[in-house]
Amino acid sequence: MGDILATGSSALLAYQAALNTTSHNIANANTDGYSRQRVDLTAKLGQGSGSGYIGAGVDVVSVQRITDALVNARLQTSNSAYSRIDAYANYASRIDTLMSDGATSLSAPLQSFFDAAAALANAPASGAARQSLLGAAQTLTGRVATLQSQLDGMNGDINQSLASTVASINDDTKALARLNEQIVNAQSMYGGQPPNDLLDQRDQLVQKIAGSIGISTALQDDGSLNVFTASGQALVVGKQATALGTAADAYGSGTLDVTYNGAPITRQLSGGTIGGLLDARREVVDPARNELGKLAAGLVAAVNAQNAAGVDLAGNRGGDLLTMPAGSAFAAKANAGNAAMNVAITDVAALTGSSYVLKFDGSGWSASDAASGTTVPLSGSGTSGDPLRLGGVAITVGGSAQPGDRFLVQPTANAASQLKLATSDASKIAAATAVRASAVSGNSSGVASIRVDDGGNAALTDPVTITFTDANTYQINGSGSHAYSAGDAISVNGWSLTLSGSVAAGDRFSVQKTGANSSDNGNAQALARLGDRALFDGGLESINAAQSSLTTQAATRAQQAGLALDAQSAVKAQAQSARESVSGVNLDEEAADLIRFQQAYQAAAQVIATANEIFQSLLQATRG
Amino acid sequence: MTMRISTAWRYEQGVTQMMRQQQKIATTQNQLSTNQKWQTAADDPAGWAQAQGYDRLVAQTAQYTSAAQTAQQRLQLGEDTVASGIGLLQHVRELIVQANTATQSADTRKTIAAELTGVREQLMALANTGDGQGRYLFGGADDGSAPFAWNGSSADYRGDQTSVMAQIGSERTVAQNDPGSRVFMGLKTGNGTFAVSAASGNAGSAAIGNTTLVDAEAWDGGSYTLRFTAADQYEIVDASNHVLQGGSAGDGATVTFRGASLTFSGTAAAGDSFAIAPSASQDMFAMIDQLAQLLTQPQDSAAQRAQVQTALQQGLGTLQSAEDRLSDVRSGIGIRLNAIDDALDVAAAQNEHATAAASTLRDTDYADAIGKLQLQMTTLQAAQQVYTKVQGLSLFDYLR
Repeated sequence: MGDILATGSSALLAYQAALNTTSHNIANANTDGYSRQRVDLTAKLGQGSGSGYIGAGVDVVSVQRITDALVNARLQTSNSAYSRIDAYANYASRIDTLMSDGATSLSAPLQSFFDAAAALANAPASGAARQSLLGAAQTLTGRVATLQSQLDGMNGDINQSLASTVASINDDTKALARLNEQIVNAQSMYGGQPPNDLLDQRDQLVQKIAGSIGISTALQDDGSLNVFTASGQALVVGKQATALGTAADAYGSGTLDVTYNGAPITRQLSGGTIGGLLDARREVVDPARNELGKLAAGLVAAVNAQNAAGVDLAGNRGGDLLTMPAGSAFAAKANAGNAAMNVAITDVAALTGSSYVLKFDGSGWSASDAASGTTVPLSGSGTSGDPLRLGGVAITVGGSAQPGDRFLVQPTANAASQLKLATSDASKIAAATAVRASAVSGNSSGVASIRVDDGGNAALTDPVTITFTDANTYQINGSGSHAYSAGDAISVNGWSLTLSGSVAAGDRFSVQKTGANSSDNGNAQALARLGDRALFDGGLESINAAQSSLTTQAATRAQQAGLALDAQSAVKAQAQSARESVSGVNLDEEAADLIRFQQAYQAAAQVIATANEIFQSLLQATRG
Repeated sequence: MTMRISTAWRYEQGVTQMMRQQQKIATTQNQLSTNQKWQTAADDPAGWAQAQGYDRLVAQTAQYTSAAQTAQQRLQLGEDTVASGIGLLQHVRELIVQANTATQSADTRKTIAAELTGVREQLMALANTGDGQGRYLFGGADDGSAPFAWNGSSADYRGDQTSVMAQIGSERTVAQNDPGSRVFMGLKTGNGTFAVSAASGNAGSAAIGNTTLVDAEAWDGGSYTLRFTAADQYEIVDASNHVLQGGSAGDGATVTFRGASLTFSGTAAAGDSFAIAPSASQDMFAMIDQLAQLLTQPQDSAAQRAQVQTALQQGLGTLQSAEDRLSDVRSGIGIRLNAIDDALDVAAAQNEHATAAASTLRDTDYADAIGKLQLQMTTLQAAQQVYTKVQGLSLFDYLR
């Protein structure tokens, strides 16, 4: 009888535990990271007798949470990948919006600038048309500067996000280390029974850290979990967490490095929000800044060269309309020497959009690409007479460098911010062709047209007289003998003159600088067509094309990032669904369990009642 | 083995589905309300670049159109002015013909001469016409101040010889002005090849009327003197006094020499001479002035009349060149105006095509978008209904 009572009461206790656990599951049906728990029951070993083993009831072996390490690992990987692409896509889409939106993109102000130049060609001497071209140039430079400041702002945002993500990783790793300690203690306290809810908390922390940075984990025998970055730096070992840090880069160029024990590990990091931020900086923001800088420098070079090919309203050779930006050079903080670098953009067609690291070995300088580390050819010695030349810039070195000194040279990254007008005087716009030709009265042939081919020619506006000694020969300034046949262009000092009518001996033409207040519009016309002239990439790409590719490059990156984000969120949803499938609480299932365990409990209670009745029957029988 | 679905996940999935549909609806709504298929370039980078190319083409055709219209206005002003000039020159011819009749007295000729001076001043005013924008039509590119000024005997041209071009197509330019030097200056005197003049001391009544170049090959451009050794005998000498040709020439005779043909009227006196020289360069105003001065010369004797006649015939020849010149300029303007009309048509067509192409790329296809919106709304509705229905299913409902 005693046995029945013991068996019944063991069942009562077991089903109480089962009901408790089911209630716990129901209570946590909506708790993030919760894994459903099950009570493991086992039959008590029966008491042996001659007639066999008679069962002795049920035992609660353990309360286990139901998880699948493989599924959790998949979720961890997909979390890392999703967070990375999420952070990346955020910046890609911000730049895309910046470049696409009519209010911030360059296409409208650039077109307005060329339209204003075309309008100036219609009224070359008009002060209003000149002012409006200058205004359009102002708007354009303003827009370029705005774009640059937006991109700089994104760089700042990335720095800030890096710092805050690193801080949150440090909080999480610290919490994880503490949980490790608690888990180890809890586990040892009850003979290795798993502290399910602590384990859930730790798993959730791991998922959170994986969302911030790519990690790998290793479960230890004592129940603690070690966490490493994907490249192997230990973040948590047992109950010990090592914090990541952030620090300005070695050159102080405005980017933030992630550090481990004080040493930068930025290049080694991947995955998670941190990986996404670093990738966005490298693949999206930096290239956009460089392309914009290249475009700005190209615009300045082209506009200034065109202006120099004409004469302004006062009759002077056109000066600079825009100020050529300078490249930037940052000395490594560890440099021993006091050398400083001055970076001048000299050839926009050769600008690459890359940054370079220049290193001094005691006798000379060598250069490498800052991103890839590959060696880049470098010429010159660094003096003002023989500057270091690479990628379209000339670098002069001041002060003295010590062996091992390094510089980070960014030809274009900050160039766009320096774009501004070189003059506020609209009469300085050279709308007129630099030279004009006139036929001497009595000539039998006349001037058809004169065109400037080389605006940079120093002698461009020197007065020149062309005299024909016969119909097929002419002299320049009374000397020489040059062959001529009808329709030929006569090219001297960077201009070329074509004649109309038939040339006769004695015909004379004088070419001189165009005077003040001229209505000639040749140079304004050329300025209006500048957008389509090839300037960049060794003379393959025009300003318009560069502007267009600035937009489409950003757009393509944003498009790809968007697609990858969609794909990655599907992968993440699958992983989550798999985890939920294994560990999530299904209320119907719990309801069924509730009924099942309740019935079992009631049956066990009935067993005790039965035992009691049997006992009573026995008592009554013996009372007799 | 059926897949377990956790309750929380089922709800979350339902909500996610609804959110996704709502996002799609928002996108379609945006497309419909802005008429833009793309929100940013990322929606179609290649298409975006293409549309930008068409935008540039549209802007460029607008530039060409504007340049063509500016040129059109200037050229029309120029054409009107040149047409007025042709009218003035015709008036000059009428006045000369009127003055050259026998009924005119010295006084009436003087009145006509005064009128000619007036015509010259009108022509000068035309040559200094402004373009309404503070610039002058006939100053070339140096058109900031009046290009012509009368110095008492001829006109000074202060402009330059530059034709200001208008870019009216990608590879098409037209001159939008005619420098005054090519309109009013540099006329060839006489018949355009050579001019004759009577020596001031001629005593006979012989005058040279018609002069023509009958053989351009034979004319060598030299200067010669034709002198009468007797009333009907002439000889022609060159600059170094070599006699080249001689013969008889009386009233109505035509002398031909090196391709030049001269017709005489009246009778020469022995010793009279005429100079034959290549045409000189003269401006239109000096030409009118010379004609006016001729009319004030005394015509009392036959010799004086002969002097005036020879000079008058030469002046009329120059007048003809002037008329031809202005007609040429006018037809040149007409040709350019036609070119501009054509360029405007081309620009309009290009603009239309480029606009249409950009619109096809970029604008919302309403039929498509509305169809899509309806489908998306139906899907959302279904998702919402399913969510509420499924949410109601729970075993706990039966545990009562």
